[in-house]
Amino acid sequence: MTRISWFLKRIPAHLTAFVMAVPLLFIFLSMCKISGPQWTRLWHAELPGLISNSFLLVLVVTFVSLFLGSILAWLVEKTDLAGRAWMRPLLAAPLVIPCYIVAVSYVGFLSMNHWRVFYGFWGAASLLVLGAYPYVYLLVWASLRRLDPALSEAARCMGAGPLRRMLKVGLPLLAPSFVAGAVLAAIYVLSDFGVVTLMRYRTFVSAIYGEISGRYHFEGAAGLSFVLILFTFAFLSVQDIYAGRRYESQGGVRVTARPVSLGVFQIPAFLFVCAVLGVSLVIPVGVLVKWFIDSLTAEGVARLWSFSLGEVLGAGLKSLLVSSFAATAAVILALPLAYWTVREPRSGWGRLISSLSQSGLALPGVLIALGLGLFLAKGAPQLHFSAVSMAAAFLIHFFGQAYQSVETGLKRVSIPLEESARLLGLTPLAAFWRVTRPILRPSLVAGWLLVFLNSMRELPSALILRPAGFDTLTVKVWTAASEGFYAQAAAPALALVLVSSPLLWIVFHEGEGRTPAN
Amino acid sequence: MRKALSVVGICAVALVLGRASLAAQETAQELVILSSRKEPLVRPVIDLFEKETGIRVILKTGESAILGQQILQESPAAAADIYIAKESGSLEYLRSKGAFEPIASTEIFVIPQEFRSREGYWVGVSGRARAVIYNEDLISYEDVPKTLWELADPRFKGMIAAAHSGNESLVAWVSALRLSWGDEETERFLTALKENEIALISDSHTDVRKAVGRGEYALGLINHYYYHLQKHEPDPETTHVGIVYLDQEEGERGELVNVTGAAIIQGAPHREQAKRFVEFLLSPEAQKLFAEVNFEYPLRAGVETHPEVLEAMGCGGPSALDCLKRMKVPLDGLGAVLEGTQNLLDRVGWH
Repeated sequence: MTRISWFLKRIPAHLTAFVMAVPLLFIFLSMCKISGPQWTRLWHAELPGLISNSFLLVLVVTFVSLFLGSILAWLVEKTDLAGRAWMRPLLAAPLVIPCYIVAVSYVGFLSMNHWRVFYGFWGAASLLVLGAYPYVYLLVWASLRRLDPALSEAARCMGAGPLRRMLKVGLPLLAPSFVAGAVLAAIYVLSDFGVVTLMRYRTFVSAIYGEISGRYHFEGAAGLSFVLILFTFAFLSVQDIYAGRRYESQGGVRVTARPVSLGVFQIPAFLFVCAVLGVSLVIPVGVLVKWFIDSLTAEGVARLWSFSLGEVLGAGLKSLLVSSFAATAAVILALPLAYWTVREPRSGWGRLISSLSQSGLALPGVLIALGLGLFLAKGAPQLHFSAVSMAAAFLIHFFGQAYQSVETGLKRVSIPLEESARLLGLTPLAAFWRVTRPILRPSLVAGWLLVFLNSMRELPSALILRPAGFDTLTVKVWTAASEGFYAQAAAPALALVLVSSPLLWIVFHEGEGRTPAN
Repeated sequence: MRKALSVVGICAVALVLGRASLAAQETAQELVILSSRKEPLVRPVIDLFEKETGIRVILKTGESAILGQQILQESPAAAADIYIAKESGSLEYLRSKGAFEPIASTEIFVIPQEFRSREGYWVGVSGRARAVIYNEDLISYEDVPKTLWELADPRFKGMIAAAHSGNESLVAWVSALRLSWGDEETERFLTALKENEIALISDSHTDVRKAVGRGEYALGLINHYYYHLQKHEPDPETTHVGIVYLDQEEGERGELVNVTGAAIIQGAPHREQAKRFVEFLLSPEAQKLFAEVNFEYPLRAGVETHPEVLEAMGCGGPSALDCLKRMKVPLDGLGAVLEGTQNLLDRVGWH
């Protein structure tokens, strides 16, 4: 019996990790084919500059996003800020607009007004902050929401001042979500392609794309990718070290915390949130709407070609289908893996398995598609260019986000609580269902949401793996925007926003309904 | 959780149905096209073909290196019928890998021999010349360079924008320079441009033309039609641009004219329809449409070039090809030197 359960705990975790590591494996194999002179060429031509460029960008964007995302989460969750109810979902809404589209719309917006376009480092950094802060915000917000006010109250009863309470009680409880958010933001920056290309800032990923386009051998790209992966794993291990400790919520009688009164800061805080929303949401969507209206009235070149309503709707359906499949599969697969890594004594092997399973986050989409493609070409050629392989690529790419979310949630589930349920006669499954699941639910929802929304926006692997006739919304946007047909890109881009937004709303609504007070 | 499970169920059913419906459609009259030429530029011709023949076209556009991988990997059980390429070097490279079968149609002879593969493995559909776009607010026609080597003049230091080595048209152009000038002069020339602080801003000529239109750079190295596309930008402030074709005088080498082309994939499942499509592309009607959506040159003799293109060249017509001095380089020789060109671009740091 114990033997069976020993295997039952490990087999799904290992299988999942293996599936997620397929592209990594291919890249490693293809890197092994690189000859000495090729390495020398890569080193001399590229590496030192790429490393410093990429790191500077990661550093700046991560810190700004962490700061911005946490402040916003605190403002809308823990204070009496006016309008915080509608601000909550809107602040995460930039997740539904691909950063590439935001960048395109800003270049359009600035040139429309004849302002200088801010190319280079600062341009790339500011646009990437707009794309990365929602990750931090979402994770910190979810943690703040689940923060048990009783702990802080207890500290207050024992005479701790507000600062001391924040440092000694709040921060340690929130630390896992800060670190997870920062790591997500860092990885997001490392793997971004659209923004850095548009802003003409050279990073690992744009160099990898340079190696791929126009060439028929991918060893050079694999070599650069491998270096990139090493760095990403370094980030992930930072998270491992800092988020290693477990903090538990004891449940029991729940107290609703009184919101912090902002007082004279009410108006500046309100304006601050509005400014963030304006820059990250209103301007990009406004530009898209303007382009969309232009496309209805445009003359000349712009009129030669456009998508029909049916095409946009069809593409939307395909995006929805593939993304929801990937997201659901990710959450289901993440659960046994996270259970194993959180509950078993931490070992080097466990860390390796959890890192392997998240390797998709470290890979640019194009390499996931290529790696997966080589595997499928050998194993299941009829699936190579199909909707199934697209969904698999999305799953592998974003599995790490579901896993991190579930893992963060599981760390907060108290083991004694589960054990008490078992002692009271529940089977392990029933204990999970009645005790663990309700506590875990917001994390499952957040994980599903992250994978789904990212899949909706994912471009490179969709471009490569889609079968002929299976264009998703991002493919449609790219098709138009990459040739400079911005007006035509607006309709599918807006459709992408429209399809994703209600889901974001529903998920937020669910999350709010499950407050500790209820 | 229950909800999640039901979503999985629905997705699985939908995916199965999706596959089944795709499979059912495969038996109908249809044609699968892979195209590295962008969708906006092939869609009008495909729509016309569908209307005239009733054959349903399934299109996938993408990067040529990636579509090339797809073709080579799916061989010999090809899933696609036609490959449309935006540039002849990649066609010739894929031909050398056995990706295509000869086009069994005498129709291809309406295209001059220099614009198709000698063995009939691919045929050119439209032509495009290399050229320089300039911003009229920043530089006057008199001051614009008239030869390639003039671009290396210190007068133009930091004023020129170009695409980097991720762009196939640029790579093909460098291949042509190598074939025409030899490796040594080509490397000297590219190094001189780098020393003249040429800005390699993107892998896309669209970015180059827009940057020149916005006045960020005075000069841009492009294919000629990007000038016309910039002229049609909705924002009138960005359309103050002109075009120059280089090396057009007596004794000079002329500009490279490259072609977009089409090939039938080895083992194409819809071979008859594929042949019909290629023949359709070469018909006067399609030639005009295919070239005009992008201000390119029709290659079939007797089909007129777009009047705006002729006007910008000061050409009486009917074909722009009659007025342009062209670099004498065999297009089906560009594929064989592709890898050498990429090595050279790496050597001079053209990224």
